[in-house]
Amino acid sequence: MRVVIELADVEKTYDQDAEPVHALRGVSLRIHAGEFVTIRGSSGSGKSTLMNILGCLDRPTSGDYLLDGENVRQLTKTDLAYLRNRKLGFVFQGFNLLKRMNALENVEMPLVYAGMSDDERRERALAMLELVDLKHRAYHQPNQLSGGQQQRVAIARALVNQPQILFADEPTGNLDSKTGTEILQEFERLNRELGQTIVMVTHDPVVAERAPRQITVRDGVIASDINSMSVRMTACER
Amino acid sequence: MNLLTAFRIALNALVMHKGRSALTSLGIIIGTGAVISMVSAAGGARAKLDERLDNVGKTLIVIRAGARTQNGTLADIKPLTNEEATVLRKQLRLSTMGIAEVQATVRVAATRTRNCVTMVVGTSPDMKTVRNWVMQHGRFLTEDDLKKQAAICVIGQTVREKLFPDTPDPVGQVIRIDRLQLRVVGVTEPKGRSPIGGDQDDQIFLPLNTLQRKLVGDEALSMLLTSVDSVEKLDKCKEDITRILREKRRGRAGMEDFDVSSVQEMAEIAVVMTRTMQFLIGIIASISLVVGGIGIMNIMLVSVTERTREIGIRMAIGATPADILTQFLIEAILLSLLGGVIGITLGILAAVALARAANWPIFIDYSMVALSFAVSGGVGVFFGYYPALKASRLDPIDALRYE
Repeated sequence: MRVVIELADVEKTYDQDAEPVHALRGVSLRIHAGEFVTIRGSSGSGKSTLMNILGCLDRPTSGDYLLDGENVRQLTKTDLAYLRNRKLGFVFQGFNLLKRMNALENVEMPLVYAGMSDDERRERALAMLELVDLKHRAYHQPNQLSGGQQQRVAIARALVNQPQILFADEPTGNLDSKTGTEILQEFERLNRELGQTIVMVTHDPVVAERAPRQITVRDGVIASDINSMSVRMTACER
Repeated sequence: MNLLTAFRIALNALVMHKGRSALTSLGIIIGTGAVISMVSAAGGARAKLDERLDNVGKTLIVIRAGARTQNGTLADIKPLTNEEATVLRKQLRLSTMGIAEVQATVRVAATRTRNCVTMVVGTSPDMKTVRNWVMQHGRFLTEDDLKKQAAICVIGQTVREKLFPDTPDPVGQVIRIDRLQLRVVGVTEPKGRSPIGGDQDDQIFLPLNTLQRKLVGDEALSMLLTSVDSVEKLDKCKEDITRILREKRRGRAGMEDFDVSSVQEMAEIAVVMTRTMQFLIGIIASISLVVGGIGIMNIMLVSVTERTREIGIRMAIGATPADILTQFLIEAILLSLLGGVIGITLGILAAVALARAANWPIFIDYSMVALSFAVSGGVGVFFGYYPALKASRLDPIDALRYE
């Protein structure tokens, strides 16, 4: 399987009030195409920092991050924006849809920044809404949708540019357990049926344990990396 | 992201806050509106003035008694005399169109059925050539009339309308001024208003000595008028007049107790005044455009803060810093241009209304309209850049976390 994410001894230090905070202290990991990985950790463990770096929202202080073979550390803000636009998709805890724009327009937005034509954009966004079973809600504003529907719109938006990796940051955090389970099933379906690589951050062990591979972060390092399919994976690699 | 999409996003954002957008544009509206209406007003007034100067004739020279003091007023008046007029006429016979004496007095002129207050002017036949009067009916005054102190007069068009409304050609009719009976021998073609605003057709001309001896009873010329056949000859002619009169009056150079000025000079003063006015308008406009621009900057800064989360979301899904900069810059430019367009429209409307009210030609300077439009756009760029830059430099992680 192709390696889409490779971290090599990544460190991240924040300079706060002349007191450096070491959020990450040397993280190395590989994620292959088609994997469903959860990143667990308590607050302050460094999992958010790790997520931000993986999501190209932030750059490591030292160490290398190869995204799809490309080293991210030297890239400019604009290059990172291009990467996020073309290779990554994001689903957030708070949905983060733009108000006063309907579901369709929200889903279209990554394609706007990719410079796609109006017609093509509309067509692909509608197809994505169909994928998450919300085509009939395409012209509804976010506040006219339930939490679960909003999160599905967000998933459609994250997938519309056919990203290499789908990042989800506590995607069930703002949902009741029933809707949360539905959303998780949606992710599992995407991973299973489309082979979508998914990296999900969560603090909820129940959520985390549904994924085949579970990485736990503690004090800025990887404490454990359990892969229930590791035997098969290793076999494949050999 | 293409520009058209950016434009659409910006327009949507502005439409979302209609009231706020309108208020923000107000500074620019006032600025451009003021420029357009004032420049148009100045242009219209100028055109009107030019028209009146042309009515009078730019080559006209006015000679008045009295020294010009430092602050420009006439004082210490020793009236011009018939003798001085004669001397000037003799010496300048070849270089001017003649010398016209003017002794004016305001009187009631009456026929058997009507009367009106008008300017009664004692003058010489030279008046016709100097002021370029064209006869509509009859003839102008002659040397013979002057010699005989004839009881005749030539009336202007306005006077004819007032005294003989039903008689297009009143030649031969009689007008009474005080106890003097005057026979009308001619009617002049209308000339319109002078730069000062006086109706040049509201006059009655009669021979100078008829007026002096039979009506007023003294000799005190209000002024002498002369003209030359081209503007280039004005200065030379003025010098000659000054020299002759100075010798006659035995005055010293620079201390003349008379004043020689040309209509051309008045026109030049008018040009200077117009320029000054335009300069002042420019200052007013600049100030209000700066104030308007600051208003736009202020509201854009508020907008950037309010929409921090939106910016974060847009960045997370792939907006580059340049995309964000463009979006907010276009918003500021649109606000500013919106103000510019509204201001220009209102300014033109005000200019038309003003022109109607003041009865001068409607004058709209389209280069000024284009300039105002461009400047308002420029204000948008200048004052919108900082907020837009601030937005584009936001950190996506912080922006996403912003509540």
